[in-house]
Order: sequence, then C-alpha cells, then structure tokens
Amino acid sequence: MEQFEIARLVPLKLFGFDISFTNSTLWMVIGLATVCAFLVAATRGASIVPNRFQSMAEVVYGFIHQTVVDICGPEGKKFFPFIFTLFIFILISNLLGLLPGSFTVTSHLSITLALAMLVFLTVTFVGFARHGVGYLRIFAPDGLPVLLLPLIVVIELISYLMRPISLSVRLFANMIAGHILLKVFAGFVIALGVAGGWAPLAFMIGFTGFEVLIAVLQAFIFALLTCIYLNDALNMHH
Amino acid sequence: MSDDRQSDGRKPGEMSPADREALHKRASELGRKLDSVRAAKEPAPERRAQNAALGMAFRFVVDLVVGIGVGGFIGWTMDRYLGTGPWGLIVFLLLGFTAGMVNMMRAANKEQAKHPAPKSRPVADDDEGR
Repeated sequence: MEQFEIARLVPLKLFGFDISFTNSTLWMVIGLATVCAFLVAATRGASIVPNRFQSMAEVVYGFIHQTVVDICGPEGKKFFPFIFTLFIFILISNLLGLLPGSFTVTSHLSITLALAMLVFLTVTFVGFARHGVGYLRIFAPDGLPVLLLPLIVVIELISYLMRPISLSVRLFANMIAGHILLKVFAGFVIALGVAGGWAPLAFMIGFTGFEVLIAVLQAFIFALLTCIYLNDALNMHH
Repeated sequence: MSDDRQSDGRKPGEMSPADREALHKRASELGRKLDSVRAAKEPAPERRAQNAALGMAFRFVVDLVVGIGVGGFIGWTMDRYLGTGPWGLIVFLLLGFTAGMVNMMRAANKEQAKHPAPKSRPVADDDEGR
C-alpha cells in the first residue's frame, strides 16, 4: 500500500541515527502550519462578538477546557496546554489524512506510540512527584484481603502497562483500517466498471463522512483518556 | 375570550361559534407546528448519545484485546528468559484477560455513574403499562 509508505525526501544522518526529512515529517509540518494559521487567524483582531474563525477556535478550546476541568478537577488546568496540543495535533493529522493524496501521520504505530509514551511517562512522573512512593498504592486498592494481594497487584500492574499500548493501538488501528477499507472499495468501483460501480461509490461517499466522525472521535478519545489517566495520578482515588 | 368579544364585538351571540371555531383551528395548527418543530429538534441529543456510545465501544474493544496481548507478551518473555515452560504464557494470558476485563468493568461503572437511572417514570406511562 503505497499510501502508507515512508519516503525519504531529504536524507539526513546524525550520530548514526537516521533523521531524514520524510513525507511523514512533511505532513506533520503541514499540520502544524495549518493549526498555527488557524489559531492566528482566530485570535487576530479578537473581539467580543467573534467572527467565524474565532468562534470555531473558541468552541474547540472551550470543549477541551471543559473536559479537562470536569475530569481532573481544578488542578488539571496545569495540564490543559499539554492535552490541548495533543488533541489538536491528532485532530489535524487525522483530518488532513482524509485529503486525497495526503499522508496520514497517525496511521503509523511509531507516531501514536510516541505520543502515548509521552502521556504514560508524564502521568507516571506526575504521580511519583505528587505522592512519592505512595503512588505505588494505585496497584493495591484499599480493603483487600492479604491473600489476594499478589494476584491483584499483578493484574493492576498489567492494566497499568496496558495503557500506552491500548492508547496507541486504538488510534493507529482506526486510522489504518478506515483508509484500507476506503481503498478496497475504490478498487471495487474500478473492477465493477460503469455498470455496477455505483453501489460501492455510493458507499464510499457515506463512509467518508463516517471517517470524518471517526477522525474527530479518536482525537477526542485520546484526549479524554489522557485526562482520565492524569486524574488517577493527581487525585489517586481508585 | 369573552372579554375580547365584549370589547370589540357588536353581536356577541352570533359571532362567537364561528370565531371560536377559527380560533380552535388556529390553535390546533399552531400546536401541530410546534410539535413538528420539537420533533425535528429531538434527534439531536439522541445522535450525540449514539456518538458517545461509539466512543465507548472503541475504548472497550481495544482494552480487551490489548490486555490479552500485553499479558501474553509478558508471559512469553518470562518463559524465554527464565525457561519456565509454557506456564508463564498460560498464566499471564489469563491475567492479561482479567486485567482487560477489570479495566472494562471499571470504565463501564464510571460511565454508568454519570447517568443515574431515572427514579420515577412519567405517571401516565406507568399506569397504561399495568
């Protein structure tokens, strides 16, 4: 599938590591530029009665802010820039990936895993910084019989280590599955020709709309789960 | 109504039935229009609930699968380096499955706590049912 292939545009090497400027990098830069242009357009000449860009930006900002405050409480506000950045980066990557001929940055496990590990390490760091060694108590819920303790601790440990994997696999699998499905149906359109190609074409149009929904939903789920994990680390009532 | 008619009507007795009928018609038409507008607005929250359910489904499915995967990986690695036969894989696959289930249960509980069940239904509904 050449739409998922990484191509080196500008080969670079640094200390033996391959840090080439690839098409993935290019689309990340395009995504960041789009976000910056959007937010600059929104905040320039900000007024009490907002224009279109400003009200769009305000809706996105307000939505994420509300989610963070609802889930993490007032203390979570410190992490709002982090979560907002994650959300808008994933959102723009997913949406740009729907453009014909573009590259979907989030359809690669290495990217989503890097984002998920960032969340995982931040949450773990915040947990230990706030509660010290006491943070380890999230592996042992209160009021547990001593006999069951080893079993539960192992299960809790697995479910803690699962977090970055499930966070990254969910995003990556959704993106790649949607794109492959669209491609397969596009193949059907060609194979069935003028006579029968209309049915898969109609399906594709509907499914593209669904893909837009998935793109927004997955970005939101990523941000939502980050909030939930942060809340566990901040407030620690299990 | 009667006040209005007295203030502007010269023949209160004759005008009243036709007037009342016209008023009735207008009122019922207005009611119907309001109902249709309300009906058009109704599906919006339902669709939002559907989207929330879709998001939850995505979360749960991946949690379960990844739980088994991570458990299996830990077991397999343990077997490989400690030479504990197939036992590490078997035990940790089961533990991973349990961890996935526990995660799902916890998330579902939290989600349910957000929407408490309505304590009392509308009275007319209950009476008709029984």
